[in-house]
Amino acid sequence: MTFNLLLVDDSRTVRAVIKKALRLAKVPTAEIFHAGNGQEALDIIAENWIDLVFADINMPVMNGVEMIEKLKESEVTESIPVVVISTEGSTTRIEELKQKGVSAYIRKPFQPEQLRDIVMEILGESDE
Amino acid sequence: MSEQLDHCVARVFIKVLEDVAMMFGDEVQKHDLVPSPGGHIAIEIEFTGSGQGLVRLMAPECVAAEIAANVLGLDSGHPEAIEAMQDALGELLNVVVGQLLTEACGTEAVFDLSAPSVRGNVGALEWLGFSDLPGTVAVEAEDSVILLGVEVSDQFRVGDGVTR
Repeated sequence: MTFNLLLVDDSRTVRAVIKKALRLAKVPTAEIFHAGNGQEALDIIAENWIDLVFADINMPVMNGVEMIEKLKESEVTESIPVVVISTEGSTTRIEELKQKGVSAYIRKPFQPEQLRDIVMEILGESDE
Repeated sequence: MSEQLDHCVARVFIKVLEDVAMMFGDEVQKHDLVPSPGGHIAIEIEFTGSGQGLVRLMAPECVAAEIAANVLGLDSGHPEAIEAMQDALGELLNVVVGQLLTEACGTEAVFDLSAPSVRGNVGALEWLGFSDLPGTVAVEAEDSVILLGVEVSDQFRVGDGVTR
């Protein structure tokens, strides 16, 4: 089984690093979509099947929290898992994110294996 | 408090530089420092919340390009790395500020970080002006000097972690 993943971060460098980490960790991906903010992410989700979203919090136009709230408002998108990748170190903030329905939280900097472990924990092991 | 934070930002920066870009740095004394040839990149990130302030970084473009290349897994001097150097350095400082605030104030404190404000083509005079500020610290990496500085409001309270 392979997965369609959406990377949401206003930094192209961070998106490239996550993509490279997914490849290094041998996460079975079908297609990787990129969005520079929450609104772009919602537009991509509206037109494509997405298995899991990796999202930053601080972004222009629409931040990660607003994007998560929009996803959870709709029956169509509420079950899409969102994993937040951020520099946030506040336990209060991380708890707030989990209460909003975030599936997991990864603090930058991260190791490729962390991405694989979380993808497999949320979406299940592949047949590979 | 300010001096503790200044050295704390240098320590955190060196650790993040190693973790993110696999590059090694050392805090150095500021005596007789000279700017590297070529332009510099200046980045600022402001923070608000449990305290407010800003963190500044100034790095030679050649080092920024090297950091971008390492972060992206590209050869040194690769056009994509040069194109990404401002974005990569901004993201590096973003990670530094996140780690610094947790180290200084603990995990209970809540902060909002601004997007990195990036300026290129910063000249030698501005570099020298920044290096002369009392709170500015210098880190040497790749035979070049990177300057860092932290400014905080009077309400900012540093926890025990910063002295460790």
